[in-house]
Amino acid sequence: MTSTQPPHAGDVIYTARLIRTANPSHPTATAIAVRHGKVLSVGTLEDCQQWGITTIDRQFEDKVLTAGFVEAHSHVMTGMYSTFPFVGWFGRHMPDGRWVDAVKSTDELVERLRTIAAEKESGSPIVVAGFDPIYLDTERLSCHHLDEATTQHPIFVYHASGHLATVNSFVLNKYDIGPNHPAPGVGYHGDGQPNGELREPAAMALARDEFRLLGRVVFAPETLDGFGQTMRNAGITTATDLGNVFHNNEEVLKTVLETTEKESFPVRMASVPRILGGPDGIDEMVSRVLTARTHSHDKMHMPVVKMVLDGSIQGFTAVVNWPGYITGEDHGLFLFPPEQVVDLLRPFHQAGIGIHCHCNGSSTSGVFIDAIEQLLREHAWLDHRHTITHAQLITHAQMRKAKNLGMSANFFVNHVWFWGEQHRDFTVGPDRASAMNPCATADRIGLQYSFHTDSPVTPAGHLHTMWAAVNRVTPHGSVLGPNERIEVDRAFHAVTIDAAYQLHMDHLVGSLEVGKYADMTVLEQDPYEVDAMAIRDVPVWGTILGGIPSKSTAQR
Amino acid sequence: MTPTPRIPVLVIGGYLGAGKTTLINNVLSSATQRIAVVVNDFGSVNIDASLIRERHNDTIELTNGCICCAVGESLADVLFSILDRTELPEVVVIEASGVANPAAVAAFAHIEGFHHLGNVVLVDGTHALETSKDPLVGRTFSLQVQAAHLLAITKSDEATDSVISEVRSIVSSLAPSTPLVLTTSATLSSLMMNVAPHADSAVTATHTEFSTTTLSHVSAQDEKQLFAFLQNFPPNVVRAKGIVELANGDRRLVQKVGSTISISQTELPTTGLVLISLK
Repeated sequence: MTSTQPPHAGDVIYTARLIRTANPSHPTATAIAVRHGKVLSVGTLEDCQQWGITTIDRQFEDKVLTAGFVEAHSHVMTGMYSTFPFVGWFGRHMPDGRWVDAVKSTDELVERLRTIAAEKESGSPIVVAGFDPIYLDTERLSCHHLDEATTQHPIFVYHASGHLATVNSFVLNKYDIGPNHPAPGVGYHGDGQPNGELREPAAMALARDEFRLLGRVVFAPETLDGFGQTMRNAGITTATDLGNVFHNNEEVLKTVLETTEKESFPVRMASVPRILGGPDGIDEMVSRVLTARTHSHDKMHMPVVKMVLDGSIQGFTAVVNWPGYITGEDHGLFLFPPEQVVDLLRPFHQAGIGIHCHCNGSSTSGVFIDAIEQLLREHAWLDHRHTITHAQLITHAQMRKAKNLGMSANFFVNHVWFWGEQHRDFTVGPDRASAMNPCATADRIGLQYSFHTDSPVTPAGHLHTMWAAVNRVTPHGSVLGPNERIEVDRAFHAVTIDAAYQLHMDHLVGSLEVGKYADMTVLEQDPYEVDAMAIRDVPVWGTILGGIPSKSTAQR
Repeated sequence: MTPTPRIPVLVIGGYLGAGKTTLINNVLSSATQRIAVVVNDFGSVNIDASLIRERHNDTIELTNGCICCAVGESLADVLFSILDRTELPEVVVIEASGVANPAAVAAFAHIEGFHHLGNVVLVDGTHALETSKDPLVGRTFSLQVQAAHLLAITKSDEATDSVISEVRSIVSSLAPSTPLVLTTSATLSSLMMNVAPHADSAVTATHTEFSTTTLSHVSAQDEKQLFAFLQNFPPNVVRAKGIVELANGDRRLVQKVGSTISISQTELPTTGLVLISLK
């Protein structure tokens, strides 16, 4: 075959055992040609060579390349473990690839803290994160345990739930937190002395300096780098920071733009501003977002905005329809007045900015869907792709309506594994727990959907979400909602092209098609071929981002 | 105990439309002290352009020494940044969002450098009947009313007497021991912000529903005795403020907002105690 075009510097063809494109016209291939960071051709080696490219990179010949995984709902705070040591119950990879073992008892926590303290100047703060006492059967953590680690440093143990911190006596003394402190949220021993627990941010903020370290970390370049590395190590090529305030501060925005533009930044990022305040400030926010958007570059996009409308199901703060939670009268609380939602969203809808709305509960999904219906009556934007994110307890009627309105759902399907049994036994009961994140019904109805991890809430990585959607198993081995299981091919599309669609980025990423970014996930095995229960165990080699291989640093 | 006096924090709560922003506007326009108001967003706050000295990101500085801060992502951060200022405000007024539980907002008022004055919760006289029964937000409404130290029914002139009486009875059944006033935003603003120990108090000069009593020589053995003294005020005392001397010569700023009493250290001279009662 003759070449029709001369090769360019950097042109390359990658060969692979198999390429899964997420493009139904050509679902599989064995070679992909890259020019200027974009897909030039995907098919056979012969197809690719038609472009006259002579550089053939065969390093992936025994591996499986897939369209790069797209994460449409995660958070930059994923990278906080670059700054704060991780002390969780499940071992986890750190952004730099180090594996950190689980902390299985208060003794182990104290030992970790003692090691950290030994390297720190006395008085300098020790903040650790990810502590998850739900699983500990040892004594409840108190300031006395922490005092065994050090009495010369302030210690602030931030729990995985985000609702609680435990501090040592150094901190209690530093901020004069004694018996009968007026702040709600300060925990006490039976004798009336504080036990070191500070519940909810208001009480955590009593430990001013340590709490402020936690608040500032989200703006640190190391956190952003840690986010990028964690995502790359999980095989993600486009990752979203869903709900930030970068657009509000020019310096912060500049740092984010510069950090993500560096060649070493290993992921393409979707940065999504969060709607805050009331309707009177929205026009200004729209203009800030549109201005910030003009600074976008290849690795930093600002496609949509986010609203958070309720809380979490396990925290009993998601707003659920009748009959509510099985354990109480507490049926959740809205974070915006429902009748105000349409006013808050209208300026975005009219400006052509997509909206992702955090709706865990069924009432909340209903309020959001109704608001979108109202906006569409007023202003016909047919390609809005407004997305119900989490959508965990969405009803079938709501899904039919959402489908008719052209909306999407981004399911938090990992919940089936991480909290499914709690939902069945404690929050909403078996009927609704088994119908949570109803992927198969969404397919029956025709509602477009994707999956997310909400990292760091659950660990970054789409092999796990695919696994959860395909199997719907719980830690004790039951299958929660067998009729909502889906095929692996469907799950693969949910974490690639369908996620890209919701971000209005499907012309750029989400499948391997000519002209799109050459973003690929590099796997050691084919998730379609392994046993369904082994999908989450498929090793990730790393990614190819814009045609450049980027090997995972995760220690196996 | 830290020697620096703590800045009092007043929380204004109430469901969407209850008149919180109107109250905030009144507080700012009639300010006689350096007030920091923390609002959901600037858009609805009615600040005369000629009063704006400077705007930086989420803070507007006014020429009368007041500042207006937008709460953004973290109330704690806003409060920390207020403490970082070279000229500290004399009082902080936080406007809770229309769905916030004022108690949860008030929890932040115990950060070092502040103390909590109380929660004033506004109830929209024209909409409270529907809101209180609404399946989506009825519970939010109840929690807001129950978190109040002082309840104020607003827009009472726009509703019939029978509606207002029904609103009163709903609110009273939710919070039976919380003082309840029916008044205008301007009066409420004076009642909270401009209570001074002089006979011509702004509150009573123009408003006939309240009466003022000044106790010019109040002294107490200690804080405990002072607290007991204040607790024994009759329930129609909806507001009190003054600086009182203790036996050891220390002075305390005393404030009562509805059902709650706060006592904090002060270096200022004694003033006696002003009591404002519902007639």
